[in-house]
Amino acid sequence: MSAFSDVSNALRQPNIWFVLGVQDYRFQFGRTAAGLLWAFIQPALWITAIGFFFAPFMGNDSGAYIIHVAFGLAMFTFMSGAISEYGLCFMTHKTIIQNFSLPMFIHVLRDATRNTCRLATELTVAFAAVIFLRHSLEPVALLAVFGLAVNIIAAVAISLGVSMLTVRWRDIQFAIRAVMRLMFFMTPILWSVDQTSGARATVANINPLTHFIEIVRQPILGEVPTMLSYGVTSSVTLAAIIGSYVVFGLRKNNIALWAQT
Amino acid sequence: MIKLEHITLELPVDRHMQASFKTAIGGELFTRNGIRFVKALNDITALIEPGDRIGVIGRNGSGKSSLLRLLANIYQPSLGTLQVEGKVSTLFTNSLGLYLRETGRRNVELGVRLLGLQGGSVADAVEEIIEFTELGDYIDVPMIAYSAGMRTRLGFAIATQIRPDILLVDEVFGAGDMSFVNKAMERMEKMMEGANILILASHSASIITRCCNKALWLNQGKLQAFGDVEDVMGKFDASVR
Repeated sequence: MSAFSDVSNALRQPNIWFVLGVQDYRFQFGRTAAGLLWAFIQPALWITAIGFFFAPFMGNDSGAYIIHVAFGLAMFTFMSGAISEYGLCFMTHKTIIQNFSLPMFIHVLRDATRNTCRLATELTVAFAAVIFLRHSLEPVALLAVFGLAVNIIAAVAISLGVSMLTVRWRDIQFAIRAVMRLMFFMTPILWSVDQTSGARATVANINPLTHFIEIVRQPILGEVPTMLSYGVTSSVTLAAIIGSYVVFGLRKNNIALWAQT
Repeated sequence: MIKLEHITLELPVDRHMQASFKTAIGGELFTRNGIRFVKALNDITALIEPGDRIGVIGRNGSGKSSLLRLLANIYQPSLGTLQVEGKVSTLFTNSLGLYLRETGRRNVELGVRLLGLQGGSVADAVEEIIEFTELGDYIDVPMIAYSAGMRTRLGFAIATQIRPDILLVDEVFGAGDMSFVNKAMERMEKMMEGANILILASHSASIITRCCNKALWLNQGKLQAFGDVEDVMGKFDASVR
């Protein structure tokens, strides 16, 4: 099966990847009394705590700061999840890979569905903050929908590429984990690029995660994202699609072999 | 129809190498570019036709599971050409790699989806599988509470639900009790009425002779014999005595 037929066969089977992805997400709350409610409680608690401890320093902008953190955190969790957690896709699903003849890309879509479910709950909490804080959304907020679409497409492509690397070279997962911890502090989630200068601002601007967050967050805060943000995100997304597809095409047949070692 | 022509399958083992390897069981080990490989299948040529019920036999590490995974399109041959015509279903594990903390019913629903069923046929399949497995109220109990035999019943029922053209089964009957094995045999015999192909790897001579009309004997990845089940089993028995 060529890479193209693998991808198109997988896309045609949402009855597998969508159902299993949602099931995976739901399953992590299995046997808990609150169930899916935990998915909302966790980010709500985080945002409330941030609001309580940090927002007073922001004076009149405290409401906007809480929204800044809520959307920043949701988008960072999504993109970092796509790289570190779901970048282990072929190892995570090696039992199914070894036992069922399915398109390989179906496993990537399954994990992407799970990650998108988590994003949906975190964004619900973030929008609840928008309503609670009586923050009015401008028409420019519609640009966030486009930003979200770019994030999701990029996340799928990046997960595929990283999963190809991690199933082949096991060291990579540990390197990624170490880097992603640093990225949390190098990405403007609790702080914003405007508040920084010098090396810190440069680091924030060359960090692609900054721009993936801003193309969703800035429209919500009433601002049009910069051309730099759109330029970086579209370039990274295109590079991820092409790079991952080429590697997948060249080495797809080795995934089941590498996964079993 | 399944046609294997000079099939060789090399599986990577690890990166740590030694100068040479000698083994009494398992395929030939070798290193290439600093990576150790096992030649799981070595120059296999065979033609399997509709109606064939093949028992795959051999010692541990002889390549039985690798052959089944190759036929299921999970592994691709390193050398040679493979032609598989027909819808393939697999039963390689009795846990199906699904959710042991979920109920049997939920796992059946997910399992038949993995095999390609959708819509209303999922609900029909679930009811039929529940009846076949005789799990009763256990179907609504998390699978972690199932015995290995109960998991085997469920796995077998799911794998045989879609009426495949080719059914590949690997060493899963060990955990089933005799009543289940008998029932499973009957189910496979019914499936074979449609001129399907069954390929069954097992260490049990009684299961092989009962289910199969041909046997394929692998030894360290090489095809030792392929033909009438009685003849090949006789040769195999003589070799291990």
